[in-house]
Amino acid sequence: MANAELIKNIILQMAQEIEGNKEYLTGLDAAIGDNDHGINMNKGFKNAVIKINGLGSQSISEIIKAAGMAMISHVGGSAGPLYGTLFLKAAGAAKDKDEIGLLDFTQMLREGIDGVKARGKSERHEKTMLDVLIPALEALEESAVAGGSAKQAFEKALAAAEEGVLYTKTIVATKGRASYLGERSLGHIDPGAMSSCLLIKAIYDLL
Amino acid sequence: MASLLILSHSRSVADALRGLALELNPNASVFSVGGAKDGSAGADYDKMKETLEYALTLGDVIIFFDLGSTMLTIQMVIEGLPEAEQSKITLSTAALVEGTIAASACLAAGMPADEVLGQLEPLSINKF
Repeated sequence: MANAELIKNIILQMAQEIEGNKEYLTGLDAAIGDNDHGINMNKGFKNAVIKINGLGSQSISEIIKAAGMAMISHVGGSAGPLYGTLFLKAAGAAKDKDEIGLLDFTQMLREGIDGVKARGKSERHEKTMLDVLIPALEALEESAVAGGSAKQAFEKALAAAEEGVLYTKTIVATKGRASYLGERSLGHIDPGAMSSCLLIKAIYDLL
Repeated sequence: MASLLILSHSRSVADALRGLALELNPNASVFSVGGAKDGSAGADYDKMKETLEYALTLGDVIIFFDLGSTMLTIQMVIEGLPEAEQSKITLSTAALVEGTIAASACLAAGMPADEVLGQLEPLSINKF
């Protein structure tokens, strides 16, 4: 599915995707959060790009870890520790691999998701990034069993992610700042769910 | 005497609360970190880590914080420290202002750290 060069390009693509949707994400956050998700994610990814471009030839694991550290240090909001954990755990699962296949990626994403759950003390159906990441992972796992190309697998994962984004409109937030709003969080897309979907789109686009 | 570390989304809030604690108890050891790297609202992992590591060189540290990302960020900082250092840290869920002032008053009166933590319990609130 991917070598270190492609992983690097995927992260650069993620940064572009986030930058292009910076205002949209912040707008979503203005409705139910604290009005900074797009700005914060953009700070994190901008720094990730600088870090990754500054690395010489590095392994898949080191590239993803550098992105995770950039998120932790530079995002400034809850997305920093959460995406940072997602990337660091994924990096750990990719250790010593020069090339990753779909099965490896599902393992990386699963460990990343487990990290996010532990960090945020959260589960699916709480109107968070997990409502996108978990369905995407399930779609990838189904594809890994059924066979087919990574591109096809990510097409399904992206569809599941987009469905997950819309699902967050239909539920009440019980985690994060949005939970202060109770029922008033209904009808709004969760910004973290949307940013997670954009990251999956970036992978799909480059495969 | 244990040190207090105040963490807030806002640099002004953190620094002002440190000032208040010291005004009431000039002998308290109080540190404050607030805001993101660029001074906007948020959390600064590196600054928190640096300040906590310094405070730990003086002994035990009780940490007070305001909102979600501050908690997630300081938890990551703490998990990255050696276990011997971690055991010197208490992350308090007390309301930020009340907890900080109560702890500085107790410490200044010579109360041992574990008793201080007991005093903080009724001030605990749900933090997201």
